[in-house]
Amino acid sequence: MSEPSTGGLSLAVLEALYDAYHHEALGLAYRLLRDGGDAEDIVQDAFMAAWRAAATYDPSRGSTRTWLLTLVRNRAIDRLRSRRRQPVTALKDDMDPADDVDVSDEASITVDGLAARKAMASLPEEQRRVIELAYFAGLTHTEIADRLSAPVGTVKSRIRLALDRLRVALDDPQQPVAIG
Amino acid sequence: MVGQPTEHGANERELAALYALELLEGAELAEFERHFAGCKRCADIVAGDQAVTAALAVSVAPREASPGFRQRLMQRAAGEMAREPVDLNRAAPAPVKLRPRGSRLRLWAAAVAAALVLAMGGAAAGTQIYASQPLLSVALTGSATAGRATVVLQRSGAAVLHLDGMAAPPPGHVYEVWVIDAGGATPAGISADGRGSILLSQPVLGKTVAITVEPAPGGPAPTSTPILAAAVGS
Repeated sequence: MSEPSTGGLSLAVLEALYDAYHHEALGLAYRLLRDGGDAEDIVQDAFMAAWRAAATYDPSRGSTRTWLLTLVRNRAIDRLRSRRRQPVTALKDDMDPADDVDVSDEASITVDGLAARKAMASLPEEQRRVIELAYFAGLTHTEIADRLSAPVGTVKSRIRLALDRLRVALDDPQQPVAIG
Repeated sequence: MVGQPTEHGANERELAALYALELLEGAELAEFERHFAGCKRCADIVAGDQAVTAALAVSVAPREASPGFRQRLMQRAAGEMAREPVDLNRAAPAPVKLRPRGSRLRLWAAAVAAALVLAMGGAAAGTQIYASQPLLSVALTGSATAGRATVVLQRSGAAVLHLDGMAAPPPGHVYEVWVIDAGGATPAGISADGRGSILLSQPVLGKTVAITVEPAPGGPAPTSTPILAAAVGS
């Protein structure tokens, strides 16, 4: 037990959450925002929000990580949207997501994460592109359609197909992806 | 346009993908949620799509924190917990009236009991126990047909919501807790399964605590009327 102080037990919960997930949280935030300061701001907010609700979560359940990273992504997407509303477009927001794959860090990525990278790489180019814009840039389907000069219906069906292929690839990484 | 709640076609499957990616907004989001609430196939699709997005979330390189980041986070949390002592003599603002107000007599009785425990050596067990001493307990009431929810206000000013035997929320939904005053509803916590205890992130004295069912993972404002609520301490 930590030293006597007001709320010592609750701070231990925050410490456990932080120690377990901060590398992944910061990695995701930085990938989305491309700015270390912004990434740390939103990750701090996300941990505070997670901590406040942490009494209902068992830290050994995998879904705690998913839930926390969802909090991180949602805050990052909000920050990206507010950047896009500003008169001067931040250059970093226009960086091509495909440039970001850094193979030197693969040793520290989980099995799930590596499988997702491999699954993404296996997608047809146009499907990978829409998932990158949807997941990593937080663009809505209408914004993606604008960005790609493609019909909204095409974008929606590509996203659906891409998620179907990713599901199959993640369920059985050895199986060649034959649908879509 | 989303079809009747029981229709399930290509459009609904495409919207499920966007929903899992958290990209639906406004009217499209509201329409899809109405469909989603009654569509088992969409619930299954969204669950599978969310497994994909969960994998995408960890597909990126992890990153180290800058020096002092962990400490600043812990200091911020400690600051939140070190609330000023609850001033029972201060008039509380009028809460939103969803339930009849609790008895003021009960509040004072609890405060006296707490003071007696402290005088008898409760403080010897450390300031941690002092801070977590229950001061006031209020049961939430409303339309939920099963289970109980109780807000316990601690001496430190922190409030804990205890859930007991509530039904699990519908698939793809969570219970979200709100603190409501004249300024509106502020998010205060989430429960994915309707059990256990939640440390609320907002002060509750003189306000109303309410629970609604929200699409996972919860949001910044309630999208439905509360299933349980109570005014706290005035």
